[in-house]
This record gives sequence, structure tokens and C-alpha cells, in this order.
Amino acid sequence: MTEIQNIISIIFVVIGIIFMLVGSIGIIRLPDFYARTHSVSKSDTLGIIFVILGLVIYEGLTQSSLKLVLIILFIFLANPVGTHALARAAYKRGLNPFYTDDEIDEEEHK
Amino acid sequence: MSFISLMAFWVIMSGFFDLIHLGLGVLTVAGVMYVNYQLKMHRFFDDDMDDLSEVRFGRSVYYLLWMILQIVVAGFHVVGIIIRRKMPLHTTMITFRANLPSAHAKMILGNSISLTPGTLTIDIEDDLFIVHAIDDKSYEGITSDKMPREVLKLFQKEERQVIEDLQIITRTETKENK
Repeated sequence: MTEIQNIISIIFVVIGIIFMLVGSIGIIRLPDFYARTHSVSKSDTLGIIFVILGLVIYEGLTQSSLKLVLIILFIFLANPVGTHALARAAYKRGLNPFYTDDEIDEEEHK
Repeated sequence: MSFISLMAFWVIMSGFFDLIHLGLGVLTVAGVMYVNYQLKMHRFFDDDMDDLSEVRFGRSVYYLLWMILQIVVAGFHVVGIIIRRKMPLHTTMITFRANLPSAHAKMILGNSISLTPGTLTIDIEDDLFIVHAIDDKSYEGITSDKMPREVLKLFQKEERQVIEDLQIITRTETKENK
């Protein structure tokens, strides 16, 4: 029983770490602020949630796992608000998004 | 309602069930509720309401599960975009008007859009949503009216078109022309 539990939790944690790694790669690779916000907030949050889920499964039904579930809930609530605040601030300051179609147009004009 | 949830939070955090700890919990919860009373009574805008009676609970459970599924699916999609060598990006801005009954429904829709990887709510002005999307497949759920319809079903039984005035902006020029 504990073996299966361990295996499942390890799988979840590994998936979470992959998500976080990809999110970090995304910060470097993506072109502009808005696209980077996607990678930071979404992939990272999904990663954190997967890691915590893995820990919940590892822990079983105890008090600490309940606390971990609460952490997931709060991340779920806080993440979109934070992202929205960042993006809205950038938008209000007049930061124009980078459109991939613009790049295609420029190449055609050359 | 808020007393029960705060008390449950206290019990989960403390883990003790004896009289002293529970008594301290009751005192703390009473203090928190007293401090927050002013804030709760304050209305930030007209239809700012603080009760859950309009939400259909059976529907909200379904919505939560559906939402989690969407998040995981879209998350894998975004990961696929980022790690692919060519990065098939197609960044767009979408603006649309959502015909929803209350401010809470709009808040839920905005949060759901932000929470789904690949789309991001930038601004909500009255009914007008401004959404940034990373590629075509990410905003499909919004433009096909699927997600707004699920949000509407949280509050009302009837089904109708929620989205109006849909605009998809893919170039800087079109924005200046507007």
C-alpha cells in the first residue's frame, strides 16, 4: 500500500517539477511581457499544485495533508488575481503587446 | 456561515480539540469578525453583494471539476508550445462583451479565464473583457462561448448566448485604426 502511495506521489511531484522547469524556460524564450506572464503564472502554479498534490498523497489523510489542501486552495484563489493585477498595470501604462503577425508582416515587406 | 468556515480553519490549523484551544479559537474568530464587519458592510459598487444564495451548488461542484480538467489540459498544451523548437506562438488580444447577471459572475468568468493557461484577463470595464491569448487553440473555449455559458449556468437555468461584440486583434495596426 505505502509503495503504491510513494510511487503515485513521486509521479505527481515529478510532473510538477517538469511544469516549473518549463515555466522557467518560458520566461527566457517568450517574446514579451504578456506572453511571459502566461508562462510564469500558469505553468508555475500548475507545477506547485502538482507538487503539493503529490505531498498530500504521500502524507495520507492527516492534519498536515488538510493544511496542504488549504495551501492549494489559496494558490488557486490568489494566482489569477495577482496575474490580473500585473497585466492590468502594464496595460494601463500603455504597454502594447507583441503580436506574432506583426513580425510576419515585416518579413513580407522586406 | 463565515463563523463556521473560520472555525473550521482554526481547527485544521491547530489540530487540538481541548477546551482551551477551542475557546481561544472562538475568541479569535469573534475578533476577526468584529474587525471585518465594517469591510463586509461596505459596498464598493452597486451590485456588490455578499451572499451565495444565487449560486446553484450542484452546478458549482460540476463547474469546479470541469475547470480543473480544463486547466490541466490547457497546461499541457502551453507546455507543448514552450518546449517545441519553433514555438508556434500566435499572440492575440480578444475583446468581447459578456452579458452576465451580476458582478460576481463576471468575477468568476475573469478568474476562470486567468486561471486557464494560455489566456489572461487583462481588464474588465463594465461588460467589456480584454483578454490576451497565447495562441489560437487557447482562446477557442472563450470564443465558442463554452466557458461563459458554464458560468451563466452557475446562476441561471436558461441557456443563451453570453458573448457579444467579439473582436480578435492580431496586429498592432488594427488597434490604432479602431
